[in-house]
Amino acid sequence: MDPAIEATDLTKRYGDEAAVADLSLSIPDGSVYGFLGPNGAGKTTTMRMLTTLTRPTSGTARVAGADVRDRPAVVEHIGYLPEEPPVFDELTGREQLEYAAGLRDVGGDAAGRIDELLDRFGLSADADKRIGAYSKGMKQKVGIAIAILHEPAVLFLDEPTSGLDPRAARTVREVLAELAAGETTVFLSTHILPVVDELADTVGVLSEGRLVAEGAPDDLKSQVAEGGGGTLEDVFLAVTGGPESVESSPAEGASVVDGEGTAEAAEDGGGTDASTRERP
Amino acid sequence: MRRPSVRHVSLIVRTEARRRIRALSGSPLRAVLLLLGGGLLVVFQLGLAVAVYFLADRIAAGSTLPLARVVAAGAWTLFVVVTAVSIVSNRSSYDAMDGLLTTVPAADVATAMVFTEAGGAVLPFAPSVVLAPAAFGLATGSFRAALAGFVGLACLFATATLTGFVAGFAVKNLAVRSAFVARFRGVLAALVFLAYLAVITTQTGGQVAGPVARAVAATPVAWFADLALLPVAPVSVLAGVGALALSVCVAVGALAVVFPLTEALWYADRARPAARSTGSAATTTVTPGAFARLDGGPAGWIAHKSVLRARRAPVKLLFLAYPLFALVSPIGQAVQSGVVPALLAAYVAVYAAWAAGAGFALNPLGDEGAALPVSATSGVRGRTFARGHLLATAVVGAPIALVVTAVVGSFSPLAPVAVAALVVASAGLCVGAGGVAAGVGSVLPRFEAVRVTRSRRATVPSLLAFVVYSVVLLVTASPAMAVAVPLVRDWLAGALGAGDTTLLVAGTAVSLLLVGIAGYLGYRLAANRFDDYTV
Repeated sequence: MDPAIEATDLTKRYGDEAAVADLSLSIPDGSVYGFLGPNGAGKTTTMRMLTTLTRPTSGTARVAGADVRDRPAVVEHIGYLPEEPPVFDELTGREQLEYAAGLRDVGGDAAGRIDELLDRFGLSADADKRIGAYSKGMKQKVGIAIAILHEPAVLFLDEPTSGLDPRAARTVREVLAELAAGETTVFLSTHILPVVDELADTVGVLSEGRLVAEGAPDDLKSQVAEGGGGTLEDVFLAVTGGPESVESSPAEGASVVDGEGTAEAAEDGGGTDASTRERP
Repeated sequence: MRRPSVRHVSLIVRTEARRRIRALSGSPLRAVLLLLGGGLLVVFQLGLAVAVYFLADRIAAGSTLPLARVVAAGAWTLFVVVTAVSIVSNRSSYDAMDGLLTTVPAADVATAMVFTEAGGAVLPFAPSVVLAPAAFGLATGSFRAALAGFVGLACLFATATLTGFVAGFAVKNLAVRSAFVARFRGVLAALVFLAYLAVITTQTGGQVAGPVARAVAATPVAWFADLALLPVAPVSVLAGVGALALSVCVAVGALAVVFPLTEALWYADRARPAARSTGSAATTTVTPGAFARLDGGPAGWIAHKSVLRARRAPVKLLFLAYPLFALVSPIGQAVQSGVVPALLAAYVAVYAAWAAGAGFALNPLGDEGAALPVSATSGVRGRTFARGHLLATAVVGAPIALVVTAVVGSFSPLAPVAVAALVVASAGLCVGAGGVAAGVGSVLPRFEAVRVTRSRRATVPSLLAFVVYSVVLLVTASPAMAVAVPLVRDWLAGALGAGDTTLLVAGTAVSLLLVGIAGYLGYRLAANRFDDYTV
């Protein structure tokens, strides 16, 4: 089966500066991919390239089998939550979802689906108030509802739990887990590492435009603390130039790329799935 | 209360001044306009000083004292109003106010703001405070006359600024605590604007300001004229001394109330408008309102959304009122003569179409705001996106254009056939205007919000889009407009040997053809831009 998201040497340059360089990914259907990186690492640029909003300078990428240079083919399959919730202050929460359903031509029981999402995110009581009066968290919930309203095959989420209270964040995590348990592929960019730890099947860490580590969360964690006890934070700090360094051998199923882009892969025969592929 | 820190106040004032200057350097057009306005003001004040020099004898003789008192009262009132309006509308806080108030005492901030506002209000008129008394002293050969003039004017400006500052904060305190004001802020602003427009169009500014100035001249405020002329003119010494006493009283009184007033505002529990609901039954529908009959698909939804947003945030459409200023003169004439000029009817026909296109379609990409990435990846094709904006323009604009043009035309001396031609042209232009606006606005979008009133920001069309769209629409409308005006039509009839009706039909048809072509090209352009949108 084709991967849900596949990128080969994907690069975006602005003048002489590479925002993303030679990024290669292969994310299987129905998985959750946690995309981490320091501020300015190129995460948003990557997400924009994969959602067709930014044209790559070079390299290729396919989402749900469609080339990212072919917008109509890609957008049919995706849902997208940008960093800033995509809502209009003048509309009510319900109207915003009705509008999104109208644009997407959501068939069947669209009204029922909207009501279900409003209820699921605890927005029913405020559904007929204007979004301008909503809190940041409520706007974020409307944004997530818009992204999943049409049940996309691939979901791109940029900081989905930003601004949410613990209960709402828990709801979002549950929704994402349900989606991933189905056939939805979730590409999740966030700085909230416990969310990634809980949900992600695979974690990729981007630093200065390059993928510097990729693997299952447990595999990556085991690299930074032999004998266990490592956290994703330790991994993040280690591979993005923090105080920790990865001195131990990569665990099976994980790979860490040094600053020059050379891969140290797990000694498992160099598999080709998302968690074991070597990068140039 | 602790005395304000001179160091803090000075630092805040200097920083605010630097910010304002840098903001100007970031906007060359605004800087040029400000320089031009400032230059004119300086020239005007130089002229005033020259007039004072040549009229010094008459002023010293005391024959102009009653007039001087009314002028002093009028100037004082104007300064109070300008300062108060400035405070109420925008200047009641600095940017990043929370940071300031959690760093230095509120009294420091309040004092700094008094100096900032006083500087902003008085600086443009500083030449008058210095030059007019200097000219008066030079002409009368009296240094004391110059000094008294300077003291009188300085007291006038200082007391007016302080009074305006206090009045502004008092009104603002009431306004932020009023649920009514919070709820109907937009409507109240529109009413004030309409009142202002009415005064301008009917040219009744003098009739409104005159009685006010005369009324204020009957109060001690007029004594500032006596103070300014004290050494040379036969004025009341008591009034002159009274003006000084009044200045001291105003200063002390202002100092007594300004700190409580500013603190009361900055730490106020502001009234919030109740979250506005749709008022409709809380049921989810999947049809785009009134547009469902025309297009139940995405285009209908885009039109529905555009109309809803415009209706609920009319402040974004404030720029549509700018061309109305061009109507000041013809409306004034119409009011005075009781007859609507033919040109006004033609202007209204084009304006209605222009406003419909500009209001709903002149910034289709920028108006999406944070939703643009999601709209672009929603699967909606560019043609559908553009069609949605056309639909909103045509469905809302055409009926309004039709009715307004018919009503205004019927009160004009135009023949019924000419009115009918204008009505058809206006409605047709409305439909084409949507395409022209969408095309121009997609090529020249504006994504960032700008200040539309002193306290509101909104994403409005770019200036260049505004100009290009207006020029294109005017060019396409000009044949229909030209033949509607009897003077032009008569000339064309003579030159071409064609009858009135033929010319009206031909002019309207040419306009409709031109706007049709321009509209279609704009529609295609907007569609392509949406399809190709990248960041």
